[in-house]
Amino acid sequence: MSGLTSPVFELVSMGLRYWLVFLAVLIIWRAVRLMQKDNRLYRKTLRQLPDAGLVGELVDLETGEAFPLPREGMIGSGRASDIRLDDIRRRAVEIAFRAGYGIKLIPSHRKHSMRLDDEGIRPGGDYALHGSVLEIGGRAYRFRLFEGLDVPERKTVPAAPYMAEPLAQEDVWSGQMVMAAPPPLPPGESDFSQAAQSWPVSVDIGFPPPRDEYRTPQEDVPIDGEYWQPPQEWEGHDGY
Amino acid sequence: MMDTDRHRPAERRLVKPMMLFMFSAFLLLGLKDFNWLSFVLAILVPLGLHITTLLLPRLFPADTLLLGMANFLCAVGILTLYRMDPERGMNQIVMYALGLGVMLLGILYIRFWQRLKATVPLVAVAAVVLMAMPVFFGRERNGAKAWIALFGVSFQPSEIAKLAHLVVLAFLLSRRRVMMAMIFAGACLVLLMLQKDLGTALIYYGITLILIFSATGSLTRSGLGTAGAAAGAVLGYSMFSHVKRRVAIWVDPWVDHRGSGYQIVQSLIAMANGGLWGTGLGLGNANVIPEYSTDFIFSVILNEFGVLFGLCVIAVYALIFIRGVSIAMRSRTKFHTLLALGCASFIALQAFVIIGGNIKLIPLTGVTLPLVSYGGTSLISSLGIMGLLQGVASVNQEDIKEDQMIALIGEES
Repeated sequence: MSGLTSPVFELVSMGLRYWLVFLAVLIIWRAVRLMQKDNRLYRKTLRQLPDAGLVGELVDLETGEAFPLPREGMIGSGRASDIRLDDIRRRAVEIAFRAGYGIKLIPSHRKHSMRLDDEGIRPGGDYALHGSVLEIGGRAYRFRLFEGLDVPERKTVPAAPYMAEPLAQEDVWSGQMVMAAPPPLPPGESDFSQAAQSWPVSVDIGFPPPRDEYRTPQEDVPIDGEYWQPPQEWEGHDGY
Repeated sequence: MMDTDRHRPAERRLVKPMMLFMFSAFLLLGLKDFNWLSFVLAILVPLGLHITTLLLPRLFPADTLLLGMANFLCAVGILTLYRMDPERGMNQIVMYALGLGVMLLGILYIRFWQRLKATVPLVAVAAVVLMAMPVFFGRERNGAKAWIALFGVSFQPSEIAKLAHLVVLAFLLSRRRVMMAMIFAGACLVLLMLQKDLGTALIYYGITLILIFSATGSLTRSGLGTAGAAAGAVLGYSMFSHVKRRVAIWVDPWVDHRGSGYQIVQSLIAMANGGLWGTGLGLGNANVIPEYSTDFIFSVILNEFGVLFGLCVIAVYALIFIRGVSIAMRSRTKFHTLLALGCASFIALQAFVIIGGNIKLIPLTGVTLPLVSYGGTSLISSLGIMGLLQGVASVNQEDIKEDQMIALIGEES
């Protein structure tokens, strides 16, 4: 068969140009919409998981300030550091979570004064576990890792530099932790009233904190095809 | 891509116009001369689009949007090549099938990265050896000695080494081994310069610069890199005669429109002839452009489908880039972030370099339009890059699931 005659084919082909361009524009439009929808859904999921991408916290044992701990990052004083601490090198130590091992700390410089659990960190790196204490820049920080992570357990948790004895594992998990600084003020309390108080040596800070304790309620998000619902007895906390 | 049932209809809505597009186009080509092969392709290509975009992600985790966009570009390439030369169109289909296999390998490589990262030194050495081969055994084509023939198969090693380049750079930079990354990239660039493949060298250089800046945030290093690029451009211009010729053609192709400027002049005429809506599929005459199936395929598309469709093709590349950056930003590890960013930038930068060359925005360099141009090595490496990107997307998906599971454990405790 010889096909359509040339004028008829030309007519059909020229008519089809508009159809093809329309379809191409439709494809772009739908792709953009799909991308927007996916981004919205992703942001919504992240709002429900404020700890997404984090493996725990690094707590300053002097002030009680907690720094979110990413899976990978850099501790330093530089602008590009993931955890910025004062009075240390711009890039002091690299951190990387490794399932089954813990958080690997790799010093950026061969000569350093950092100590992990009262021992110097080797240039090749050492692993920090839940409860490990990192001494850096003249201060001590404790690693608090989330429950559910694949991290080996340890028998005892080293003491902070000012503690006489190391904490036993059960002490750590029962929520007893020595604090050198007072916990955050309750709403309405002024600094003056705080100054007048005498702070207990041991303060229950819920250690380690359940992941959802300080989560704010959000809309439903699908989890594995279903929708996550906050528990009925759930009450929001602004902190711990 | 968030893998939920709520997304499925949206994905189907995206694929349907693609299928309709390919069905209409191949049907039209079939009506031209009642060629049975065109009618068969009018059924098979849309069916292939459906299977690869909607059904394959059920077997292995993939970002459907990214896959859909990549498949659409591949289908446009197959359609254009089939229209110009049916044999090349059929070859491209075979290469696309092979490329899908490479894409799957790319996904698996990233998913099993923890076990396979020990292979990085081997990958780096293989990349350098591959890039060195054309210097010794290569064949010269269009001024560049970038091709080799092994066991009767002719291919461009620098295309395959792209994948290795991305993986090795992302790995080294994620470990802050900036100097080693620069040495590796420098070795690749020197070998590309020895091959006189300056277009590919430009892309490699650009990607290295982007990754180093992303990894270190160092303006000094990036500034020095940009200055180095400028110095390299001047050096290349003074050293290679074909670079001088290409710049002269870019400045004024009409001076020698029957000789060295013939390609670009014909390309410009073809695009102008197409106008806003194109001449119509099957009615164009872009086959007068010498390299219409590789370097100038964008001109052929503009000739037959028009400027509006050409803008849509550019928009698809932009979407792939934006999606790639989004995947990079969702990644939890530096390696994955850098790899996704590198993959997205590679596709976008290569598309910019060749489209810019076609429309006389920048001097023409001999690189292919990713996922569209004819050429097995190019298509396979582009799909391999998409595979690495898909691998990162699937790892992100796993990470979100893990976070959700940890959150549930936290609730229970």
